[in-house]
Amino acid sequence: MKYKIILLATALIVIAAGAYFYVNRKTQSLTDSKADYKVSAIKFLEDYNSDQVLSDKKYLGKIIQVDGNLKDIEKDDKGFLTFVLGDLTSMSSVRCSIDTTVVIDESSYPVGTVVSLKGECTGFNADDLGLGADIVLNRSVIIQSKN
Amino acid sequence: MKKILLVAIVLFLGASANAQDKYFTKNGTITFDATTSTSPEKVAAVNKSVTCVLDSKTGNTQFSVLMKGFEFEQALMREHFHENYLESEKFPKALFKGQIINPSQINYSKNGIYDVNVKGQLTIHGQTKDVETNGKVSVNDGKISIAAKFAVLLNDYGIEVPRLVSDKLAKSASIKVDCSLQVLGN
Repeated sequence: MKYKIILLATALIVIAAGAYFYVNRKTQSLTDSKADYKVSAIKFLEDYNSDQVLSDKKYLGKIIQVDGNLKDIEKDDKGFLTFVLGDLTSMSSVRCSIDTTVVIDESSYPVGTVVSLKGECTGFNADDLGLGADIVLNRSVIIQSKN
Repeated sequence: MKKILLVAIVLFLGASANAQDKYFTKNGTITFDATTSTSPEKVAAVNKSVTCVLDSKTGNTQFSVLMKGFEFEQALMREHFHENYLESEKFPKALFKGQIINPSQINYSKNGIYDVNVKGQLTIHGQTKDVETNGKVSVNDGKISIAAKFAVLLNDYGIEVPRLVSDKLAKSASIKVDCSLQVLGN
């Protein structure tokens, strides 16, 4: 009887602790996450430009590893960084918002070099506003830079 | 020949002036907060990849917001937001198309904070509603920024708050907009 009570109490504690950690778990960094798809920035933009609905089904919410020419690094007023990848002559880009928990030195990544990043695809802005079409990746982390 | 040259110059100057009238960003910030007074934790998310275009001449303003870009500190809250409430895969984008009602009151070449009234149509979760709000346009040494804060009733956009979580999730969400703009064409 005593053994059963101890077993039940242990089981309840384990379930309660599991539920607590499940509910309160934080959004994780993507550093150690495996990419669902690996694609070049040019191909990624081609996919979205040819069929947005199909591409959303494939890529939206997924972790994407994207390789491409670094067109620009934008830094906003609060210091948040966005790596802009794609064809240097095109207005369209893959915009990778860098994970704010990761500290990087942006001067190590010269414009024009090929970089590889991993981030969560949050969608595609077609060129409705005359600003070029963009794919946005959130919580992006840098995998490597190929000089 | 001179006439052609003159027309070309006029057209070029016209186009240049037109580009200077527009400002934009692709890194705007929108904060969503649906915390109630009895919420055990903050029900708030931030999206830092908002696209915005402002035409200073006409006052036309447009925002495009990718819903999956809203980030929460807690993973479970994030999952509920995207999967159960906003259905971000079905409705991946929120849009605002509107106008500053009093654009002539803003002097884009003079430093200052100008109160504005913005009116337009807001589409969230596939539902479009008319909205009107006050905001501010700030001019600081050529840097233009816009800010606004308004509330949206989740029910207006077909977002149901189940009774079970009504003490944690507000029926009205506070939306805060903050964008630093740059001249379009630069």
